[in-house]
Amino acid sequence: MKKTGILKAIGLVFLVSMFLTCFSLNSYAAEKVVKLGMVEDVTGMAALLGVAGVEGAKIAVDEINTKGGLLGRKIQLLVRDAGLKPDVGAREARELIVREKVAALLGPVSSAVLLAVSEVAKEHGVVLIAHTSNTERAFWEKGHDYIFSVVPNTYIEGSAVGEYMSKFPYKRYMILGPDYEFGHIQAAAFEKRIKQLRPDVEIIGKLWPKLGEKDFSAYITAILNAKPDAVYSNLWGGDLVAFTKQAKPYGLFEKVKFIALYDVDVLQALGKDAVEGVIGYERGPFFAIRKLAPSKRFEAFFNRYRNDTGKFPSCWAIMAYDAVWAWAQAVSKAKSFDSEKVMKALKGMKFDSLRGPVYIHPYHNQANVGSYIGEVAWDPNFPYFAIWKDFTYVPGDRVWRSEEEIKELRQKATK
Amino acid sequence: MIYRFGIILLILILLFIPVFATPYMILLLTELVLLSLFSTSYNLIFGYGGMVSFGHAAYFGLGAYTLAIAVKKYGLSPFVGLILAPLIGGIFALIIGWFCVRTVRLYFALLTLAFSQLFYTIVFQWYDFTGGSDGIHGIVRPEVLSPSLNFYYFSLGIVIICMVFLWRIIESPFGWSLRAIRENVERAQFLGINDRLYRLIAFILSGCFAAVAGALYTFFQRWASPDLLFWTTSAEPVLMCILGGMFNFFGPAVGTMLFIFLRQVITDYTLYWPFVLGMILLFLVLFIPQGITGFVGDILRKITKNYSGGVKNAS
Amino acid sequence: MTSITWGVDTIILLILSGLTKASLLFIVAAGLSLVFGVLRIINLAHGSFYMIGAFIAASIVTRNPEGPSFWFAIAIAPFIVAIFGWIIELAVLRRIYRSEHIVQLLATYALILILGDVVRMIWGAEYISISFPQPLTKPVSIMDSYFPSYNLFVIAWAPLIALFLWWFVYKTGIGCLVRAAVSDAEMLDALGINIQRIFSIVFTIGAFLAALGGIIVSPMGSIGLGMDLEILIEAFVVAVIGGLGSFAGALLGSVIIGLMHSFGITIAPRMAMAFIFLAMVTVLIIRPWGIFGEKER
Repeated sequence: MKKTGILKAIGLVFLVSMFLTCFSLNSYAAEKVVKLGMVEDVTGMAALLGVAGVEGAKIAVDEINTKGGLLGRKIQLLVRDAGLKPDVGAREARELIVREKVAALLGPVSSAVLLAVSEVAKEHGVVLIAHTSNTERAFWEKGHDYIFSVVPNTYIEGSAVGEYMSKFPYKRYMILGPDYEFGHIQAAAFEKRIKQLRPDVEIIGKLWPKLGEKDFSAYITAILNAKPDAVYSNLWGGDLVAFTKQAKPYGLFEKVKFIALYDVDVLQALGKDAVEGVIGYERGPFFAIRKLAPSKRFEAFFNRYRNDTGKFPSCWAIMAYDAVWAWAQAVSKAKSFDSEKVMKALKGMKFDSLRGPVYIHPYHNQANVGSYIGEVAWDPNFPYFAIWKDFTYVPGDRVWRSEEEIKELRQKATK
Repeated sequence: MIYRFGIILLILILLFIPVFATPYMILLLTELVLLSLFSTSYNLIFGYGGMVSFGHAAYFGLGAYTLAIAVKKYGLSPFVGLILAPLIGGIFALIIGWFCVRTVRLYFALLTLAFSQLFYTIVFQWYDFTGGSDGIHGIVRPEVLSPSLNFYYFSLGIVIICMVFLWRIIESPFGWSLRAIRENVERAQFLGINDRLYRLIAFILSGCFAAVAGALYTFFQRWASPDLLFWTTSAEPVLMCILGGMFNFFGPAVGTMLFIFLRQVITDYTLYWPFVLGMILLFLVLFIPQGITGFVGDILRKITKNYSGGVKNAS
Repeated sequence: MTSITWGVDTIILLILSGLTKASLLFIVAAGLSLVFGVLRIINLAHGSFYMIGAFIAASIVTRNPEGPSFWFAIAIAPFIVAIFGWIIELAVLRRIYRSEHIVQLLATYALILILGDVVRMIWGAEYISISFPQPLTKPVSIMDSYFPSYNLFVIAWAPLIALFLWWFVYKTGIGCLVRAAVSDAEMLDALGINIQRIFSIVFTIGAFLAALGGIIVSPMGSIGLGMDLEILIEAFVVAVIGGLGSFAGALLGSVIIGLMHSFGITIAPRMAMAFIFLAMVTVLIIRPWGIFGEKER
């Protein structure tokens, strides 16, 4: 008994020292390279969004490096997977900041992960640019100086669609969204805006399928039974694909006007199953950008992305690309990589995004990027998947909250 | 005697390591001590009690949310939250355990899993109280604990106190009765041990300490999220106990250390960490089921045995 | 919350919706339950077979979206996965039949992690969608409403599988041995019967059923990562409520959960999931071995 005790103690001490040496050896700082950290969700059900984001960011970093880098230093992109788990995201963010000493962070896919990473960024005073996750809470009431956004947040998206829909004569709306904060909060923004503009609009029901639902027949039955004029939905990705395919045979799309996040990914996945006439909204569909804000830079990006990945760039890739360039421009403006200075440079900064020129609000750090809204339709140039027609762009600063409102929200949140 | 010396040495290392450590290492060490408490608390019912719970995340999460809600909803001091956490964790462990200890083996695992998923769903859906899927954020640490080094010492202190308690529990007559129940229920009953009561007490104590770990975790991270209660979180302490060895008091802590170490090294090189973890786990359960402490012990014993010419081993 | 007019056709549609879900759950849960009944192992990797089945079917169909490739997929993909399951049984499961429950749970948990990442390596992160196969694209009319014909096809599978399993277990020679293995595997071993072979066959059938479920669901939804955990929890609830190891139980459990779901989301949308776990907890407290299960010896 005693003997094993000694041996175990030796073993224990041995293990501890092994553990410790490994970490002391690991921390070194390379001089010439500046690191840019990316906490991304590249596993799990939202992996497609994260992977596209990484590809977009890689292209931007590569462009910067071929132009000779920033302030004479090359950029190195470090990608970590959060796997949709806030604790993992927070830990990876800490590691990137404390050990890798990244100059700035790019944000994750999941809103829950974003909120966790945002706490870390705030704690360490490091710039964090969100390019995919867009819960308004992260920017309004829980916003702080270091979190920036180049993605239209839920408030902007919901309000933009509300504004767009107010032109139509529909009165009885239903809401269908995924059962987590993103779904609820964005639908609330839609509801608020459309009721503001059209007091006669009535929300007759709300349905919340769980994230990753495979069988929507009960929800479809419930919608058909309630007979609304239109359905506002923020189902996204695979869930929207599933819903669309299942609702089609019920004839739902002929009976009600359906509005949902029909983005490039969903339309590609749907292929021939896409439904003409439904209304789509998203953050940066390439076909709309080409029409509304054509630029050589976008074409170059588009071709490069097609070349590198064999895919069409989704808005996730476009926004991640914009996030890297926004940071790079702020660094050039501040003439420093120092987070404090870059943060100050980013505030109120104008920059050229792939979606056209935009600016970042000096108080709440949200870029005035907006929502693209259009009708799903087939186009002879794209034989394999449907795109949109008659699209419009609702810029973010037309529908976002005023500075006073946000100040009030923040005060309430800290109480 | 020497065992005790080893523990003192370990504590000394943990106390003085920040002198040499990089800031990042301190963060990792904080996580290490917190998760060690979580896995050791689990081992009280798992290794010593022989109860395979698959829902230990519930108490970790309850502790985390107790602190978060106390601070953000009721404006209490986080220290009050830290004291409340084991109480809340214990009360829920009492309710859940009361039902669970009636079942045995696999059904015990299933029932604990079902309860923890129920809690997960409630936390996930009850937006007004728990913050829903986003969780609760922005728990500010008091000025004193704000630097990560101070917080490391703070959590190390609490974890050492909890570990001493756990050690006393395990070495007490109660702890030995628990082992007797694990080995042979009928015999224990015959000796007059009320097995259900003993198992229930172990379950409650385990829940209390897991809640402390959860509350500290929230204090450390500054937020709580429903993921802390999801069933995959429950798999983590099981994994750490198996990794380090479940029949040794320090096994789970060693397992936690190995887990954090491996994760660190592997995520530096690949985005396929789940794959590598799965492979390691599979290798472990197939080839070294007694865990690392047991495995290292075996090897060392073999070496010394050969060296000293085959001394008979007492254990 | 939603205004509902409870007409007859609404109720029929809700029942049919519930049965669609029930049928999908049954196909998957029956395999989980069968494997547990014989091998006494809870196969956490069951959902992974389901996901792999769906991905293989998607690969077959997207290669040639026109024509009857879905029927081709449904005919061969389950067999591919079954062979794969058999290999897993040989390589991993066979070594842990005598181990503790926890070791078995951890080993199959490790398989979830590994197989999930393997799927990501092979198919990437895209969500893939395949169309409803001909001739099931059109809906059928039920009173004043429509119902997709594919859902009826899905509903038809449950009794088919139940019948097959009943035939297999009660009418075949191997089935007889399986039943014997359920009641006393050690005795069977002592009688000199190759118990390993029976275990292999049962595990292979389990993988087959999981994959079949994955393929049947694939035209309805989208195929993507995370499908494995999604179905696992639900199939688990079904198998536990009905009683692990019992087909009749899995059938009843899936109907209960399916109907609870379809009526639940109509009446109290946000509570549906909590109710389902509450049902699981209640059953486990009152009758841990499930409604139709047999008390473990």
